[in-house]
This record gives sequence, C-alpha cells and structure tokens, in this order.
Amino acid sequence: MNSIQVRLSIGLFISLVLAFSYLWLSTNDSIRALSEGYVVQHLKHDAESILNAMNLDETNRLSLNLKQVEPVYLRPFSGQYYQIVAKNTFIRSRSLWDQELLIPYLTAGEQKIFSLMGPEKQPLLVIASGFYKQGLTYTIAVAEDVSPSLESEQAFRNHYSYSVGVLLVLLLACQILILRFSFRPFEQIQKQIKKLRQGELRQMEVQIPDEVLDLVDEINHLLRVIESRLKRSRNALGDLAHALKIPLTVIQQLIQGDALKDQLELRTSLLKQTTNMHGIMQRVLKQARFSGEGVVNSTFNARKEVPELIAVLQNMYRHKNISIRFSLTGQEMIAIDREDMMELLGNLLENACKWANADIIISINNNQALQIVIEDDGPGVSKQNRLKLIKRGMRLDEMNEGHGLGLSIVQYMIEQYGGQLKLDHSSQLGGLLVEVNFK
Amino acid sequence: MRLLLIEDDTDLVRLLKKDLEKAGFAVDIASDGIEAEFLGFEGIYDCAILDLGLPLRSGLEVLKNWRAKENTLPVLILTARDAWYEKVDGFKAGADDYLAKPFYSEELLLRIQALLHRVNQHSAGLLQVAGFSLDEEMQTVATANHKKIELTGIEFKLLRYLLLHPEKIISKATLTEHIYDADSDKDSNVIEVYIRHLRRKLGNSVIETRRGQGYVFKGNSV
Repeated sequence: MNSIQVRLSIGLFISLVLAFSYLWLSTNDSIRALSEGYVVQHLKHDAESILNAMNLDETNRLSLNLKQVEPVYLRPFSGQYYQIVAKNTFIRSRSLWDQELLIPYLTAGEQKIFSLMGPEKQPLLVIASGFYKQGLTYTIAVAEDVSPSLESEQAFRNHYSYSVGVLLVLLLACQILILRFSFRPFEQIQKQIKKLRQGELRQMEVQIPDEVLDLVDEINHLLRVIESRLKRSRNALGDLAHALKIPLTVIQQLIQGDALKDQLELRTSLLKQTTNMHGIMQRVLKQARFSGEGVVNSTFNARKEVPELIAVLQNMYRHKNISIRFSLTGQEMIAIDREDMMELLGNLLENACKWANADIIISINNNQALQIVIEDDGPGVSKQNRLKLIKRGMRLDEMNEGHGLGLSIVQYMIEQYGGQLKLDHSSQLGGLLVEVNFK
Repeated sequence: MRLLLIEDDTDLVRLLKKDLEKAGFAVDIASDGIEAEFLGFEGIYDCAILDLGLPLRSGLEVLKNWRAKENTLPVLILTARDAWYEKVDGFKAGADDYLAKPFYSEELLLRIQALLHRVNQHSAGLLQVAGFSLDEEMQTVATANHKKIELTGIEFKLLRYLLLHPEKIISKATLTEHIYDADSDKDSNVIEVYIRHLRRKLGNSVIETRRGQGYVFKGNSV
C-alpha cells in the first residue's frame, strides 16, 4: 500500500497505542508501589509499638503488655497480625488465633517485606525485622490483610483502563478525522484528474494546501500549454492546408484548361503528380491534426453530434436516399477529442455511404470501454481483402477510391488512441462491418 | 442563372469564373466577407459559392448572418478546410452543399446543377419539363420526340431559367438580372429578341407573353 494517508494512519496508530500502553503500565506500577508503601509505613509503625509493649522478665521470658497493643490485633482474624519468634519464644497476636505465619528467622538489623497467604485466605503483606534485645535475637513480623487495598487498586485500575481505552479511541478517531480533513484536497485532486482525463474539466480548481500548490499550478500551466499548442498546431495546419490547396487547385484547373488541350501526355502526367501530391498532403495533414491520447480538451457528445454527422452525410449522399440508424448505449459523453471522433466517424460513415445501397447501422456502446460498430448493406469486402486492408495499413489501397484514404486515416487515428480496428461481414445487413474498440 | 462566387484567390477566381461562364452562368465576384454578405442580400443570385477562409469576415460568419436574416440563398461551400467537424459546422450554419479543395471543375458544375435543381424542386440529372429535356453539359435541348436542338449561349441561359421556373410569370427585368452579371450591359429589349429566337426553335406556344408582366413557360403540356 503506497498511500501517505494509510501510512500516516498506521504510524500514528502504533505510536498512540505504544504511548498509552506505557502510560497504563507505569501508572499501574506506581499505584501498587504507592499503596504498598503506605501499608509498609503503617506496619513499621505498628512494629515499633509492639516492640515497646515487649517486656522481658528476669528469666528472660518475653511477655507483651496487651494494653499497649492496638485492639485490632486482639480481634480474631481482624486482618492485622503480629508474630514474635525467638529461640525459645513464640508469641502471636490474638487475632491470629490458632494460625501461624511462616516467618523466616532473621538476624538483628535485617528486614524483609513479603506477601503471604494468611488465615481465612487473606492476602497479607508482611514486614519482618530481626533485632537484638538483652542478649537474644528476635524476629518480629507484623502483617496486614491487603485485600481491601487490592480491591480499591483493582477498582482504580478498572476505571483507569476504561478511561485510557476511551481516550485512545477518541484520539484515534480525532486522528482519522484530521487525516481525512487534511487529505481532502488530495482526494479532490484525484477526482479532478479523472475529470480532466474525461474532458469534463480543462483546469484543476481546488482549495489547495501550500505543499502541493506548485504542483497543481504546474499541471494547470502544462494543460494550458498543451491546449494552446494543439490549437496552434491545428490552426497552423489549417493554414498550411489552405495555403497549399489553393495553388494546387489552381494548378489542377490550369492543367485541365484549354492551354494543354493538345498536350495529352504532359496533361496526364501533371495530373497524376498533382493528384499524388494532394493525396500525400491530405494524409499527412489529417494525421498531424489528431490530438491523440492524453488529456481531452473537448469531449464528444455522441447523442448530440452523431445525428448531426448523419444529417451531413445524408445531405451529401441525398441522391442515394440512405437510411442511417443510430443507437447508443451507455454514456453519451465520450472521452476522446471531439475533432478526432468526428474524423473517425465521418470517414467510416462516408465509406459506408459510398458502398451502401440503402441501409447503414451505427451502434455506439460506451460503458466501461468504447465500441463503435458500423454496418452497411453494400457489396462488402471478401475475407482475404479484409485481411489485406488491415495488414497493409491501407497503403496500397490509398491510390484507389473506395475504402482507401478514409480507412487509412481511421486506422492511424485508432492507433493513436491504442484502439483496435476490425473488419467483418455484417450478418445483419450483408455488407461490410467495421468494428472499432477502445480501451 | 447568376452565381455569386466568393473567393479571395485571384487566380482561382479567374479560372473558376471562366469555367462557370462557359457552363452558362453569370458570375459576380466578392473577394471579402463583408462585400459577400452585402451582395448575398441583393436577392438576385440563384446560388453562392462560398470560400470559408475570407478576409475581413469568415465565410461561416457570412453564412450564419444570411441565415439569421432568413436569406435562403442556396450556398455551396468550397473550401480547403475538409475536416469533418468543419463540414458539420458548415452544414449546421446552413450550407446546402460542401466541396473540398482541390476539386475538379466538372464536379463543381455538377454539384451546382444538382443544387439548383434541388432548390427549384427538380430531380437530379437532365432538366425535364413539359416535354423538353435540357442537357446542361452540352447546352442542347431535346423535344419529346428526341429531336435535338442546338442553343446559343444566351438562349441556353434563358431556357434554363425558364425551365427551372415553369408555369411562373417571369418579368423581363428578372430574366435580365439572372442572365447577366454585374459587368454586362443590360438591355431588356435584347431579351425579347432571344425569346423570339427560342419560340422559333421550340414552337410559339411554348413561351407565353403576359402583357406588362412578363413570360410564362408552358412547354408542350397540351
């Protein structure tokens, strides 16, 4: 996928998800550390007061002044426990009842903080410290049931995850909207380029962001250049044709005039030369006029312009009284230069008119691809000659009247557009069928 | 038949005028668009031969202006511009026929003849009216029993005009207008002389005189 929009979307999506995951994980850790830290602080404090409540009698027996101990340690399974262990001593809080905590022996000054499963499956956080008193090493463990704080931690985590999730989705949505919005000019540019190709537009006109302003300006400039160049070259060719054809006309008139009446040989060869000249000129000038594939400057409206063309041909061949039936399926606007299309259809229809007895059918099918079929009820062309006509590019036939110059011009034009010309037998009318396909 | 030849190339004009006159047409020349448009409104021409690439005003514009003011002058476009879209534009502007340069004089003459027949509601080919058939190429006329009669230039011009407008009263002035070009000396009394000649060749009853109005071609319609 080579779309900037998609690439930006993917990149932004990944970075957002990564950033949010990191945020989520680190917040989780901090919350746990925070609540643990608080419990530890509290337990240390309790451990101190227990230490203060400890008494050693003369026999070094340890006892605890329960009045100095917080009452929560006296209620069974209250969630707050202590346990004091020494070589010959084992004291536990009344809250532990008959349960025992698995506490390691520690040397004096050592301290350990760890989790433990306590009575009634309470998750406990334990702080155990070793100390030295009157020649004996004791280990005091104070534990607290952390399930309430775990619960609130979980509640917080749920709430937090939910918020983070919603925020992530919102941000992603925002980001998609921003991208869509920022890329709208590009989508418009794409649409306009399509329209340019189909000749619906002559210049691009969009609210253009600065980044592509130059590009669009340049395209517009090139379009103007191409259009004016085509116009200029067509005008120049028109003028050239005019300038050459008038003298040629005069020369031909002179050749046929009275002055050369007796010079039959001279007259014949002059006539042949000028006719040749005219043929070549005609072909080259017509070929040069074709706009060919590319951005279309003016499209061909089949529904409007084919009937006009048919009217002209019926006028030119009125003595033959030919019926020309026209059918169009699909789009009426054809994305081929109007002049080129006129030349194509004009030549094909004129050929048909030359050979037809009374009937011609022209069908244009302009859906995904453009197909033009022209059939006549004339004598047709044999299969062998049809192949010849196509293969030799009509060069040999150009000298003769008939399917000559017209077809060669047509074939040249079709090549310019990457189309295909096919000749066949018309099963409907019995004469020649000419089929033109454009991609 | 009087033609308006609109063409700016003087050599071509000279040659064409000669050919057209030889074929029995009176020819006036216009060499630019403005003059052409003006002359086209005179109402004395039977047909105009119009070049498209004219100085001052393009042929297409001239034609459009005529048609916009309901001038039905038959127009044959004679031009070096032979692209199909130009032909379509020409016909759309109101042309009656279109011939591309270079061309052969015979072709042009045939087209003009056909056009004149068409606008005067005659069929193509020989001009056949009430027992007479006019060979416009040979400038002879044949009667119903295939007797071929030779005609002089003026006689041919007169007869062609009468045959194209049979059963219609045609004044001497009209005949003069359509037989002579702008440069000729016009003497309508000469018309009487030539009508007499035609009657002698074709028969007295063929052309009737309507006193104070003109002539009517009756032919051998009895």
